[in-house]
This record gives sequence, C-alpha cells and structure tokens, in this order.
Amino acid sequence: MNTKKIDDQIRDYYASQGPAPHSVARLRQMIRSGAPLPSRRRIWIASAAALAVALTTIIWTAANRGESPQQIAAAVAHQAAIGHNDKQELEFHVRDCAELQEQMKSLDFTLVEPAMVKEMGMRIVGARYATLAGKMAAQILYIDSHGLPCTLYEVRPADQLARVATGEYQVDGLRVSVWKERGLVMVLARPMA
Amino acid sequence: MPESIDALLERGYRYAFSLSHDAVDAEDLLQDACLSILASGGSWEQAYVFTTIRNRFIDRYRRNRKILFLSLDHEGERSEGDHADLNWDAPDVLQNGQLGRALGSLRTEEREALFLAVVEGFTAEEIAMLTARPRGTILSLLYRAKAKLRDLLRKQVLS
Repeated sequence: MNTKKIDDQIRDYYASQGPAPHSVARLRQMIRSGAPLPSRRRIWIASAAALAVALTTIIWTAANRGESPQQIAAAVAHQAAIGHNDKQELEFHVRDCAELQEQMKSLDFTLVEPAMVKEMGMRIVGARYATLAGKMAAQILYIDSHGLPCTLYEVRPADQLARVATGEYQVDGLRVSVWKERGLVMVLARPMA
Repeated sequence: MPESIDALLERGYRYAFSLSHDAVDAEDLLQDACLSILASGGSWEQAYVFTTIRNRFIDRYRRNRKILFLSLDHEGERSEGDHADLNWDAPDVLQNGQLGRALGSLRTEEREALFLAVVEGFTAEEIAMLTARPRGTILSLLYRAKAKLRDLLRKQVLS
C-alpha cells in the first residue's frame, strides 16, 4: 500500500475542494463593483417589505384611530412583546450602535443609543428592519448584564405615534417600556426580574 | 487588494469548508462574509476575510442553536514540540474518501486548527490570534486533532 505523510494528504484534500467557478465569478464581480448584485430574491424581499409596511400602516391606523396616548402605548408595547418573543433572524450583527447606524441605511431616521441601555450595561448584538405601529422601525437585540436578551424598537414618531404616552407594561412575561428620547419613540421589551 | 481576488476567494472558501465541512455551507459562508465586508467597507486582506468568515460561521450556528467550539481552556497546555512527530506516514487515504470522513468526524475547532496549521501554514500564535484562544490551547488542540485523526484512519483502514 502506498504511504504518504499525513500533512501532505491533508493539503491535497483541501486543495481538491474549491468553490464553483460561477460562484467565484459572481463574487469577483460583486467585489469589484463594490456593491452586492441585486438578486431576484433581494428585489422580491424589498418589494414585500415595502408592501408589508404599507399594509400594516393602513391596518394599524384604521384600528387605532382616535385612541388615547395610553392606548397607543399599550398597543405598541404589545406589538414589541410579540416581536421579542418571535426571535426572528437578525439581518445585522454589530459591535456597537455606531456600526449599526452605518449598516441600517434604509431607515428614515438616525439610530440613537438610549441612555437607559447604557445605564443598564446592555450590550448590542445586532438588529433587523421591522415595523411598529405601521412604521418602519429598527428592532435591535441587546444582551443585558445578566446575559438575557432584550429587544429595543426605535421608530420615528409619525402619525399616531406622535401622541404615544410614556409608560411601562407587563406583556407575556415581559416588562415593556415606552418612551420618547432624542426625537424617537423607544420601546424596550425585557424579561421581568 | 493585495492578493488576487480569485485566490483569496478560494482560500476563503477552503477555510469556510474547514469550519462547516460542507460544500454548500462553505459557499454560503463565503458569500455572507463578502457581503458583510462590502457593507462595512472592510478590508480584503486575508486575515480580515478569515475573521469575517469565522464570525459569520459562529453567528449562523448560534442562530441554529447548534453547539460548537466547546471550551478547551481547562485542558492542559502543550509545548510546540508535542505535535511535531504527528506527521506520520499514512496509507494513501485520500483517494477512497477515508480522509474526508475522518476530518468530518473531528470537532469543528480541531478541524479548523488543523487546516490553519497544515494547509495555511499558520503558527500556533497566528491561530491563537484568529480564534481568540491561548496559544497553549491551540497547541493542545493540534496535538489532539492529529492523534484523533490517526486513530480514526487506523480504524478505517483496519475495517
């Protein structure tokens, strides 16, 4: 039986593995152009997201017309709790808020880090685009000082949200805080102590 | 871009493959990493690309709630010379798929360290920097990966 040094065999093994030529060509083109190629899937996702925002806005506005500031706050707290418990996949993984600001370019506002997050020693993990009260929002995942996940929503105070009241709610085993800070509506869902 | 982009992509793919041991996953990881570097305006240096691939791999498997990268930090540390005699003459096991199966049986961190040391020629220090582990742990990992590989291949050849 032929023998060969194991290191040489390991090198040969990995040398025999390689990406498909069309994948390399596609990635090369993407890198040289400096922008991701718009795949059909991406276009479909973008269209679906826009449609979802529009539909949610219509439904939410119709359902909450004439509600008091407290009722609006309770409604967004409930929605935030559902969003937290859904644990949907993050689109961005970041080390700090500044990095997230760089990455979430499609928002119609500039993300800020609320004072409460700093005071509570929470660490940012990542985020995804979401809707809250029919408006495009950033859904940001933090880990608190006990290692528990917390979800912060940031959204522009447009339409009904302009009248939202500050408040704290208990929804589905979570403590949900609603407040305004630096021109944005903040909704933080976190496990109850 | 200091290195030919095709060569960098191929090296990146092989590193991703050493982590996932799956061709489709490796391509996905490489693409994810490229998108992430483009989005963040990161560098196309090999070290940055490898780090991004590794981070994407950890994110993805954490999301899928799979356990990987078990802690080795409690294990005894080894010196540089401990794994030097582990480049043994082995029956040619590449052609019949035995080596691929044996590598697939290693733990992710073992396969990764082996790939970086043997294929990429990284020193233990360089692997320690990339993987954020102590150098002694890397040496231990390499020693154990080689020993395990030898046992696996011996069993396969005997059977």
